[in-house]
Amino acid sequence: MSVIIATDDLELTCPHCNGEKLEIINEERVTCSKCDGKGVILTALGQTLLHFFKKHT
Amino acid sequence: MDHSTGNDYIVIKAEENGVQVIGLTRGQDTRFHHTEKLDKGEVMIAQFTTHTSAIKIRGKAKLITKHGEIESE
Repeated sequence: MSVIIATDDLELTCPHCNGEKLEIINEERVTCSKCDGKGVILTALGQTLLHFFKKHT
Repeated sequence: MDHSTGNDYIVIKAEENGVQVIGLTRGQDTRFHHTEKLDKGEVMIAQFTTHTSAIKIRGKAKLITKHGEIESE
């Protein structure tokens, strides 16, 4: 049995900055406050895999 | 008013593919800390916790809360 995991199953584009990692506040481009400048938000599966790899590397 | 955080939950049923459920942090900053993608027909039951004070739904979905039913588009 093979399991295929799509990127969408791991992370979704930040809806606040649309993946731009930046937002405009007072006409200044600053790090997106909603995703901390990552541009994406992890899913539960994404966080589980990330923690697993961090634990075993 | 009920201020408890651990026992309130909502039911989300996706009515199209790619519905996004986004959890927002409790506290001064409301950041997105978690997201989940639901495909058509999938159901998610999400609880308000010490970490999550708000839930944002993007896409067409049916929501059931203690306040009643609502549909997102």
